[in-house]
Amino acid sequence: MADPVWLQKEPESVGRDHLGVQAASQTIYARLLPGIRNLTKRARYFSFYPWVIDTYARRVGVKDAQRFNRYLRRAEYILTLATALQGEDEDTTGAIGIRFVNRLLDDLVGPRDTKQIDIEKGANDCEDNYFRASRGGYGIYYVASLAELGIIEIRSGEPVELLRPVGQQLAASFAQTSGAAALEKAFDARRLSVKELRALGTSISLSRLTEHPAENDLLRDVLFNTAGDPSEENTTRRQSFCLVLTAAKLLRDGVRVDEFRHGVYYEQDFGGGTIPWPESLQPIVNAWRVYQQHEYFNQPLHYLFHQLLDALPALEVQNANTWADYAARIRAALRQRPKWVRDSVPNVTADTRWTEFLQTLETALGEDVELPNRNRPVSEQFFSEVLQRPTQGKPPGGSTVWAALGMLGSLAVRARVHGRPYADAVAPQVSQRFGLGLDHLLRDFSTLGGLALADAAVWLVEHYVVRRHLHVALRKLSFQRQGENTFKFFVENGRLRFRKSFSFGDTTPRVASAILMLVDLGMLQKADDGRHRLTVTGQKLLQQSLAGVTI
Amino acid sequence: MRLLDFLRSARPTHAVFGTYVFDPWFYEAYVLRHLRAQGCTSQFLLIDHDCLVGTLEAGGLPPTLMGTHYLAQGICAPEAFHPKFLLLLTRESGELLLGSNNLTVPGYTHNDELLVHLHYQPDDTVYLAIFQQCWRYIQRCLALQRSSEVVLNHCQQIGEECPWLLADSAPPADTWLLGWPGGDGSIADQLAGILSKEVIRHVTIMAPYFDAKLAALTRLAKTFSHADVRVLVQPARCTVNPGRVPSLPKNVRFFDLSDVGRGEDGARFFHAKSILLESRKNSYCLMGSANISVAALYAPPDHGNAELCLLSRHNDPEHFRSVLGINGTLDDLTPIDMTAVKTAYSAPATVPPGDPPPLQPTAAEQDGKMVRVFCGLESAAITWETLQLRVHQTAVPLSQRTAGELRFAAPETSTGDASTIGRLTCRWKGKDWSSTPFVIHNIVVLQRYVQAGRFGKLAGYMRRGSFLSGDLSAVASLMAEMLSGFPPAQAKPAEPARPTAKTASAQSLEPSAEPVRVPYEQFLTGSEHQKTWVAKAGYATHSDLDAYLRLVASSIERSAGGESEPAAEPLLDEQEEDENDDQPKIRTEEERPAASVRASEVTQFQKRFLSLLQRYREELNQSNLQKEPLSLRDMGKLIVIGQTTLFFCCKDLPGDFQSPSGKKRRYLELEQVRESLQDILHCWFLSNRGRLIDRVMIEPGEHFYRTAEIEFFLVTVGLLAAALRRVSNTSFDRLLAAATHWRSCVHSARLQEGEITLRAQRVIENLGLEPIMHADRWQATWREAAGLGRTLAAAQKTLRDFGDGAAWLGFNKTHAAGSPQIGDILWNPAVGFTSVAELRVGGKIWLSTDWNEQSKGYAAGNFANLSAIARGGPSPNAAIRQVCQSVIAAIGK
Repeated sequence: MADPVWLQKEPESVGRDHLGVQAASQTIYARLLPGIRNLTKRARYFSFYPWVIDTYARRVGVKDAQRFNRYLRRAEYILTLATALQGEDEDTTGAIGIRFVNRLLDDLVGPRDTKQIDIEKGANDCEDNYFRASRGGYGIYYVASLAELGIIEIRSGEPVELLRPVGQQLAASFAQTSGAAALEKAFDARRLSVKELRALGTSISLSRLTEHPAENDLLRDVLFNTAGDPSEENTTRRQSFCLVLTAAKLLRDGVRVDEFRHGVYYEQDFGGGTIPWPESLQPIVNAWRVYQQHEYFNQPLHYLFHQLLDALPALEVQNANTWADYAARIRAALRQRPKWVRDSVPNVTADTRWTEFLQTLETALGEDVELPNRNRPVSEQFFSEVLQRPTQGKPPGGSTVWAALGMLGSLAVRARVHGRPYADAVAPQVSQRFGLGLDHLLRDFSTLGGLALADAAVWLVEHYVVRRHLHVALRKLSFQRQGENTFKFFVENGRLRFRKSFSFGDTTPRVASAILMLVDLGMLQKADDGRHRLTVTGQKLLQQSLAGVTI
Repeated sequence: MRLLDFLRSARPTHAVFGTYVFDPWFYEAYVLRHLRAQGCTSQFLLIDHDCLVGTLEAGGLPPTLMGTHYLAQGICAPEAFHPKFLLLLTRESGELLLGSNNLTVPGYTHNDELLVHLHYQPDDTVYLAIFQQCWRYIQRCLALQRSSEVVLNHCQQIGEECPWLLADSAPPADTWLLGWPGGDGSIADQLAGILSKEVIRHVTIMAPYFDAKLAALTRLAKTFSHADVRVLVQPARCTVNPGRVPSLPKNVRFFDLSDVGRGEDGARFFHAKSILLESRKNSYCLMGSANISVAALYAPPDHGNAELCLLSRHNDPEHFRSVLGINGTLDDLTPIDMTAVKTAYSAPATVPPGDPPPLQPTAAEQDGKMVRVFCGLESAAITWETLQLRVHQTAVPLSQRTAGELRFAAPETSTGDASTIGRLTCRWKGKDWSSTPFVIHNIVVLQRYVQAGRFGKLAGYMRRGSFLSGDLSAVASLMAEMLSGFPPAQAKPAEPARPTAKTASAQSLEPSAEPVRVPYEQFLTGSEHQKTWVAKAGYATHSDLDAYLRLVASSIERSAGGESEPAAEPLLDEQEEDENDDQPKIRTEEERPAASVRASEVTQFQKRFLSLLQRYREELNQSNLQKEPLSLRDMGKLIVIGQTTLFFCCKDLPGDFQSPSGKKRRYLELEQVRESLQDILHCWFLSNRGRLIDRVMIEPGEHFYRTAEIEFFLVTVGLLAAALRRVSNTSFDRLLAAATHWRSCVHSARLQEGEITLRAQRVIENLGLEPIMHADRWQATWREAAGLGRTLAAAQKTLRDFGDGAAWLGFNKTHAAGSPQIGDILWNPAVGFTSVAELRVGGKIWLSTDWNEQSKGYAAGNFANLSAIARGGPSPNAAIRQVCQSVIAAIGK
């Protein structure tokens, strides 16, 4: 029987990295801060989980995944409850399931201390429990980091990971803390009172690591590689941690992620003051500069993409949604010269050749484009701020296109002094795999040099945005096992059809996690305005570390 | 039905698409690519002429491979060419997808579309007549305008290859193909003819597009005046003219499709077109391309749209509603007042009739240095002397004119492997006039790509390294097909379809035995050409193909001599520099190996294999502008990269594979695989240096991640090696062949005997191996090879149990084992099985399997000398002596 069938829709997802550019950023920062992740924010989990595995082996000893998972989830849940009852704000940041726990605690009515909290229910039983994943935050976030740091060993088919020697030491150090025994006892209780949990928190809270010197020192040794393991991962992680500590020391009010990024790129603080990075850290500064450089490469492309998506619905209504129509609007938009163009590169117009534009821009960036970069009135930071202004759903605005050209032009100009793109951060065989990067831009600009800016802008949007997105979305669709429809627009009958928009943000380079871990280790302390300052302990470690003294 | 899954799993020889709207970007990057990867190098599109022109217009995103990698013909229907179908054909079978979806991203991925999927196989012939009618329909569409010769010949060749398509079988009792052109009157007339004896009680219409006056809906309602006519629409997105709704017959009611679960409340565009008709006894479903418009349903002959629909009947009146998931709900729904709805209707723009253009180009093709442009209209007012063909910035004058055909000398700019878009220009009525754009099909390039794209695909994947992040199953499939896909030696009566023009040049008539057209690299690599593989491939000193090449070359080059003499190092690269049409040197009768194969046959096989690779290499080098010239050995490395990739298409790496950090890595997520595969390859090449064949690769265990494609590939490789073994003569040659058997002939329960037999016969036939390995006896040969592999695997285990190179060194010293002789077979855990090619001073030996020219030789004491032990020399124990004897016996057979 010739029966009709409905076309089944391909699964759609919001997706990420719609131009295939941000993966390179992730590759770079993953190599600069290996072993920690954006969601592994708390140092004490690296001793807590080994202790959980150790006690499970001791107390239960059954190699059963389900049983271990239930055990683990109870432990995680109790730790978060105890942490939440002992601290606020940053103290509880990164605790697994903290939002669930905070809601639960907020809902408690009346005198708190006598209230009983059903541990089994919160950890395992109800639908809306603290974490949906069967292995909790351990399985989602920490297990890979623990393995990368050499604390555990993941064995295929084994329900419980194996503790490596350092993992056993960490478990033992956690066990020595005063609350560990009480916590172990609490595992058997179905319910715990708020008072009991608060008492537990005085010792085991994620924020109380510094009160347990043996455990603290051991964790510091692991994260800072004090044993001097020469592997690239360990040395790079140590250097990045030292760089964050140095930033906390050199930046006036302490370190903050955005100023850290700014500081490694320009070697200046937000106020324009020079940051005298120590000579021994210069290689890692350069490597982080490369990361930020690629972020600056991301931004104009994504904002040009956003501008297209913002404009498309209106253009469709006007029946002006062919690529040719849009290209004409880009050209028209460039006729409106924003203030920075009029002020800083006054002779540049939409008809200026690309090479001439670069020469003019080089002058605006500084008499000579020196190494390190310097933040001038017209600079990547300036263009970044312009790009982030909303386009308000209008066809291409001159300011966005001009800022995108300025940003890409600045990167091209500075690349002359930085040499081969990415060489300071990753090996060539890694950067060669980047689908789209600064090296592509430089290569393409070398052939586009004779084009007028308007033509170059149209070329860029066509090849780096329109075609690139179609290419990336098709590739994602092509993966047989996870084929997903992530098209934000598509082409139909020669017309660009809007599908969905998305929110764009810079990648998060794990620095926030590194800062929180350093706070846990007592090397940084919270200051105003989201900043963190160096403590005496941190100062001492940094001095020793930079001087090459064994800690 | 998920169309992308369908495309990924289809294995047709020919694909014919019909579409109104065409998205070249989607088609070329996805559909073309996937079908080609599965061996479908013959793809042909029928597209509405005006839509095709729209995609070619400057400022769009025009096709880049049309006319070079696939064929396309714009169809000039009186109003629009509107069918949407996909016909997939092989010599024995067919699949037909007919529906409402255009060849676009939304049409294939997320619109609400309705399709019907029909099959034909020799043992399932119910719909054979529908396929034949569809094929005739395609011919009629091609006759609507002056189609290009290359397209018509391509169709003719498809017909010749699929003769079942050309017959006129009895139609099925309950299914009808309704279409225009062809058919008896309009679609509505054809429908009325079939339903003439039915009293229709319910009509359910689902469609997005309606004519402005709702004339077709009115006529349908009047035709079925006793029926309740229910129109299901997506109110905001359908083109129902609210102003005309009041004038519709009273039996028409509108309903919201979202109330029956379609269209996802407007988020998903409802593009399906269907009319369900129900009598007391039967139900009918008309599905396909026709909207509810006069142009689609009621146009008189030579007017309106070209449409294609299928009418299906079932003896359950509610059957189709049930199938479509709207059973039982319609009676409960509340009709919507379409007069109050803001629909997507917009009044049709009235375009004042202008002068018809003086020429309407409908197709063009380039045959060598001649371009033919086929035209539909010819105005008498043309100043022919001013007529030019314009391609890019180049214009060439008209050189010859016949009715409907204009000839030009080919512009120099139209010789590449990418699409060439041209226009005609002339003076007309005192002004400069330019025609609509058209693609010039390049016959020579098409012959290359449409006929044999497998190697091109492979090369493209490998050269850019993107196969590492792409669809790995496609590579697997490609690899599996690769060796079995060589064209036969002589042209056979039913050749694979190949586009030729009737006036094709001599070059286009060369026999299809001229193999291997290579890479459509531009297509595959785009702007992402990467050179990373070059550095990595440099580490691969041994590969299966290397071994094959050496076997082939050494057979050709080998000087007369005894079996124990080392094989001469074949000077492959030097030979290549002297490439010409000369036959390779054929050995004399005295030099011929003592095998039961005639020298001429051996030579024929060897020559074919080598010339295949040479051509492949030439084209690769040409595509790469000779920037990184490849040697034949490089070709072997390319192949081994592909093999490695296949091998690592797995969840877990083999247990003995260690990353440089010493941690065993797991590859559970595709993203991780994507990230890590190149690293793995890099490590593999590094670890592989100096070994015969890598241990990781050939461990003869049953890995669960072996797919059927990989198994097939290994069978193919095993058969080839088995054949080579029969033509080889030296112990070294046999050793390599045996090692290959070991790797590729491990029995697997995954494959059915029948499947292997079919594959084996195909390999033997395509490679012309019959004189070497008869098709009937392949199984015995293969099993023998597998036995040999098992012998070597068992021997390796026993030898490994004794110890490493240091252990053998100690043993050899203690027992004064003495120096090996040239030709002795040795073993060492790091190198594997090897043999002595040369003795050097200081007890050093040069191994026959060491192709690294930088090698300084190996210390003989670190090896177990299997030959010496088998001859009665000192042995650590009886078990080892026994395995040594078995290895020598097996290899010496």
